Amino acid sequence: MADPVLHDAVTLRHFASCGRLNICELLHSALPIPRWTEAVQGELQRGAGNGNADCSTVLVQHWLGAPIVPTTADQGAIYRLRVGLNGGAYPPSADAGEAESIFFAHQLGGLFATDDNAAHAFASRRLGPTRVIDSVDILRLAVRAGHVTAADAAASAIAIRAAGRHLRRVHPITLTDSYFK
Amino acid sequence: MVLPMATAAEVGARIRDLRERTEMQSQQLAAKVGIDPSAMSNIERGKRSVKTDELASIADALGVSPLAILSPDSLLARMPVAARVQVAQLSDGSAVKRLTALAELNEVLSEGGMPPTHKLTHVPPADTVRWLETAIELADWARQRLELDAPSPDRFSNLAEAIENRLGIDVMVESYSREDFAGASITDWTFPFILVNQDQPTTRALFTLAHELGHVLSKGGAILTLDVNLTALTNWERFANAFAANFLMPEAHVNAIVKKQGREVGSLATMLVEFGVSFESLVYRLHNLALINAAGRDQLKARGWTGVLNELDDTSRRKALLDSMGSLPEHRAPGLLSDRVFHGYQQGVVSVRPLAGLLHVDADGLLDRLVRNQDSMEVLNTRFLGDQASELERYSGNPV
Repeated sequence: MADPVLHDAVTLRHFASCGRLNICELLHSALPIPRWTEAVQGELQRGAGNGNADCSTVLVQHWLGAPIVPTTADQGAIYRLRVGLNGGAYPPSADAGEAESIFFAHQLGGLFATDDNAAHAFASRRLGPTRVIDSVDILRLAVRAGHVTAADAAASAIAIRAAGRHLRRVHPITLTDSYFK
Repeated sequence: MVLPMATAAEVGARIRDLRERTEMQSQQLAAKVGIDPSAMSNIERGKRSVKTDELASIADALGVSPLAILSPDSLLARMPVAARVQVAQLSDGSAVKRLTALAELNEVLSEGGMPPTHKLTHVPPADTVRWLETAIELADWARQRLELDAPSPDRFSNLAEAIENRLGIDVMVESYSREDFAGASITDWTFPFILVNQDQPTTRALFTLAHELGHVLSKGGAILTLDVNLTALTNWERFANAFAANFLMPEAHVNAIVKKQGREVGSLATMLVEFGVSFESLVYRLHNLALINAAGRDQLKARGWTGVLNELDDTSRRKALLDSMGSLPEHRAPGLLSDRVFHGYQQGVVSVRPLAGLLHVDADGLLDRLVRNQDSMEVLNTRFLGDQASELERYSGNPV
């Protein structure tokens, strides 16, 4: 992968929750920036302010670099994406990070990493299915790149769930090493 | 479609314009949004970019959609600020916010190649001077166009469906947890929409539906109407009430029942069942048609519909009356918009969430079903949606 990967807050928190943000770092720190957006950072800051330790862990990751900041001219397209993500509910405030990430992934020819079911499906249709990844995809890529073993990957995914967080519903209840090979 | 890209200067000028129209100081807006006054000043002068979250906060503080700021030509920008200010003074503006959000959804779907298609052609004009006359003309036109002369046991649902199918106006029935809120509508024919509060008896909801239809057909008053109760303080509201009364209880039909059954309690019961309206609406209608005088009206109001019920001897008529007076309307997703949202979902214009929001179902569960059934529209049928509560929730997507 030589394209930037825009991380959604949910996915960064997944890896922070099991203490394995280093997997994302190993895999993505060599890729071009940006790696997250201003709104994703804002969501994590709010989460940290509410006492979520995994958010605080993400915020001190230097490899993420500076978040990309949209200009005013970008806001029309970003708000339309927010409406597309959650239109009909008012205000669609929870989707700013997802919308910015999809916008910049499209603009920069990059990938979007998210574990949110609806956002994943939506972005897959807009960006193409190969340009949207989730935590399991990241773990599989890390196995393929030799950064972790399949057993490590499975253990990380199980640890994410054990931390009370959720992988996308397409993944089975029982995760074995072979699922990550 | 190439979307308009507003510059910082244009966005700043628009924010300033909207702020001044709400008679708010720049410092007050900055305080509401939670940013430094100098930052707000720079945003208004186009010297500072507005952040994604700031834009939403500024729009919320001004009582508008962000699209009203970003797209001055959109329906959202045409929704008058004055109406929103009035709404803000109410204790609960959730219905207006819901309609605003649905108008945003309409905007995005239209830009994505899925515009609404209303069927509002050859609609007789309405005006506030000849409000009663034009209300009667429009009610006659609507009744013919909707082909609703035959009484039906579920008049509310049938009328809602006919309004959608024959006029291309969306009808949504949703709970708003406050009994005094009757309904609302978007009267702009680029996206005609009727919202009826579910938390009122079906008889009252039927009158509300007809009242809002009057607003939409007449394009009367504001682009966004909100009826906390149906008391008429303006001629447009009188028009909407007159339209509803004439539409639901046509004079010829009322006279025919009175002629056939006389001025007896049975005649009242027949009208209540056939018209599906509330007892109060019927009594006012009889008074307005000069079939009863003011004293008779007040006597009937004092008796109430239960008084009529108690005087009925016929068991089947008692049951029919009870059935017609006792129910609440069911939740109803707007059919036309739901179809557009479904196609928008298929095309990647919107995610599954707006669709789930309209149908009042869990988004992840709906997405599962859509994926499993190759995005078949059959999934939207209640037969498919009904079993979701019992399905094992193996994983629940938990964003952030």
